[in-house]
Amino acid sequence: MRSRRTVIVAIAATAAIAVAVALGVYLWPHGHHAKHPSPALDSTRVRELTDGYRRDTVARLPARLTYTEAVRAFVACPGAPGRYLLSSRYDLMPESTAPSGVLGTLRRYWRQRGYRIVNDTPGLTPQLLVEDPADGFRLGISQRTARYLRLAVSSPCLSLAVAPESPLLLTDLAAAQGAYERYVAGLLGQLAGDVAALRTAVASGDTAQARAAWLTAQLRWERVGAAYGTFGDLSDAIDGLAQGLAGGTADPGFTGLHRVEYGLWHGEPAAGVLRVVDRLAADVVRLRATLDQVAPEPADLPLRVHEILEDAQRDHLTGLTDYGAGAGLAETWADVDATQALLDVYAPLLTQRRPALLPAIRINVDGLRRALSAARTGTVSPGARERVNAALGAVLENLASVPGLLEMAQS
Amino acid sequence: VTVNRRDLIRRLGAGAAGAAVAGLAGGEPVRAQASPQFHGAHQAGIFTPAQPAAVFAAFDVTVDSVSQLADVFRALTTRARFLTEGGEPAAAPDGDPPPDSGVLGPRVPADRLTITMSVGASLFDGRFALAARKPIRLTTMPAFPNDALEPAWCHGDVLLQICADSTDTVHHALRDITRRTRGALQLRYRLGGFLSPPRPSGTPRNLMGFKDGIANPTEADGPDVVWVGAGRGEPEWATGGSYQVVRFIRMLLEFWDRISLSEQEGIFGRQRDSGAPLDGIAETDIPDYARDPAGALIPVGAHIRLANPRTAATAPSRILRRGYNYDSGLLPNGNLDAGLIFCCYQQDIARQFATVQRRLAEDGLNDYIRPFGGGYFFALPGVTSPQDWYARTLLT
Repeated sequence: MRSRRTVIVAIAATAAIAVAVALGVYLWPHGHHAKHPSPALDSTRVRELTDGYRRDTVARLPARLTYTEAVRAFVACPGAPGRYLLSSRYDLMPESTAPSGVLGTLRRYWRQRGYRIVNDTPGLTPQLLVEDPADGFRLGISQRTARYLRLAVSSPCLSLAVAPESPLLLTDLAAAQGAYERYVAGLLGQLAGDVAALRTAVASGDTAQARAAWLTAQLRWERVGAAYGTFGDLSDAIDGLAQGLAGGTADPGFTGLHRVEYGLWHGEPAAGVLRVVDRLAADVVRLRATLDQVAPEPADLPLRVHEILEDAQRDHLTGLTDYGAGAGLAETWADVDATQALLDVYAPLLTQRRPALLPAIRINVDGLRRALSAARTGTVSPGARERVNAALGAVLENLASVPGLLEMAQS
Repeated sequence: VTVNRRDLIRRLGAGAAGAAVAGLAGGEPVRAQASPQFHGAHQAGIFTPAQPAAVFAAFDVTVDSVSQLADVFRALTTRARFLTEGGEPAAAPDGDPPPDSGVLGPRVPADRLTITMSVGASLFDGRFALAARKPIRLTTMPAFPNDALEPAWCHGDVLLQICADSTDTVHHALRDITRRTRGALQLRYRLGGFLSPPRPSGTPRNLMGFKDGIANPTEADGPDVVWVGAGRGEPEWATGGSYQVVRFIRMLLEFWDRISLSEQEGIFGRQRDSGAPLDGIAETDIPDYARDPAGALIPVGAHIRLANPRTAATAPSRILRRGYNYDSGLLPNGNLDAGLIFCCYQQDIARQFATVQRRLAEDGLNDYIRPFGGGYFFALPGVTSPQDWYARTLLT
């Protein structure tokens, strides 16, 4: 499952102080400005220079000190509106014993390199802060506790082509996560009923009724929006495909809704299909019981806003998930429902951050609904199908902005 | 006349190293390289510095007897020898169709063409009574967890990897070979590939925009990594050959273009612009995983870290990669069908490629790729002299 990598977050002027402290910005109570700022300093160059200072410094440290965390962000320059500095911190920890003598080693090395000492605070949690007069970069090393060291690197202030977006806090995203979980829990309750109806229909021997019942259940599941194995192994158990399994469609690991579809459209005897349906019912029960443990993290859930329809494009509109029913367009329609549900959950945050985005998405989603409706009646003409592809592509280009607007700050 | 292959290899190896350095320093694509030699203990096209154009073409054998099969390989050898060395096409009686397509003009240039010939496990089924002579590690490629294999794009009795400096040379060679083997070899699938020039320098980029193939064994590693030799339980005839894995890997590039740069870089473990590992500055910097056990800088699930953890324990799984980009038509959803022709050589697929592939089961890149074809093959030993022919030691 795809999950976030929150090593780099961007923080604007009003961002939470807690975040700034976490980044080690506390080392710079007053914004500093290079005396000779390089005119060529841009965001790429300050990243390179930061990496250079980090590597050069860490190379002086004993090898047993290893990284435990790295966070990097552009933060607003104090006292310089519209300008930003790249602030990075790296926590290093030894395997067992506390590091000793490291500050002394670095003090000697940095002096030798001609760096100016800005702050040198001894004590139980000593701190040393220097500045390279050549380019205004500042390096700090501090003994945070007896157990670990923190290296901080900060660039001079610079202008950025695009102002960084302030990241959200966990509390902002947790509310959305809660709303989504309630939405999913409601659907899973309905899905349990759908699977029970599917069992009855299969047992009755009426293939047409069984197929209709399968479609109801399949579309209900699609509305959950379980892109990319959102619920881990249970997603695969409920909605997995035969691809990648050694035995293909005959593989015992091929279970769930598409396995039912395969059976119903390939003349499998009812007894065999019933075994698959019973297993499916049990997996739905398991998912309902463990939903709060397997649901995506608040920081990861924004990815699903675009992944659900990315999945539809990759799987439903290539025929990959079609095991006989030819329901790819209907499944895509249900995926639009799921996407809309997530957009509703995030609407306040998105509107606040980029007011034009949701209206643009709405126009394209409406276009996709129209194209899907036109393609659902009778035989799909190449032209109608082309319009579905076009409309879905347009929606996806809009949705791609959503995860970046909903980045969570690293705590 | 037996060519001293060892000397040739040394010369080619030195040329490759020099080319790589020149490529890094000057940022210019390297074209002026020696023509690969057709004759030798090993086939060309394996350690040969990758030419810019390629096709991977799999055939099924449609003849029934081992003597007819030998005729096929003799014909393949004759054509490969002529095409890779270049020259005047043979004359034909007046009124007959011309024997050469003329695509490359009246005189066929060598153009650094290599034709690397491999055989699949299916050649060793009952048809030619070769089962007892099968390379002992040659199997049929299985489906890996993220695969969506399409049978029409998998396996085959014979695989030709045809590479040259120009696409027309590659096309000309394949067209010539199919013509000379008509009725005996039937094309099963083919996919053309290309190698990008350095942008702006260093290792070429793949279609995801990342430099790919930065860490690769050199020719000196051949006996440990690539070549099948004595003492490995292989049939005698297989000495000097190599196991080849080809994987057609579709990239979901529209989706890829819709995720953030930091996510892309975390997935690869490298910076997109420079190609440097995320803990480094330059493309050639060696990632220091020992300093970063928790993945603070290079995520523990990053592609480069899973593919090559650079530990003593994982050294035996190193492979020689020789991949190409492909760019070919549309998918049913209207997206571009483009990606990577992954190709690697090794002496033991289970120990090498399959081990790497298992490590990549949790690779974040899997969400953006879809392997759909390819197979396991055995690259035959080299043709050692003008009297020799491909697979002679297998079939006689």
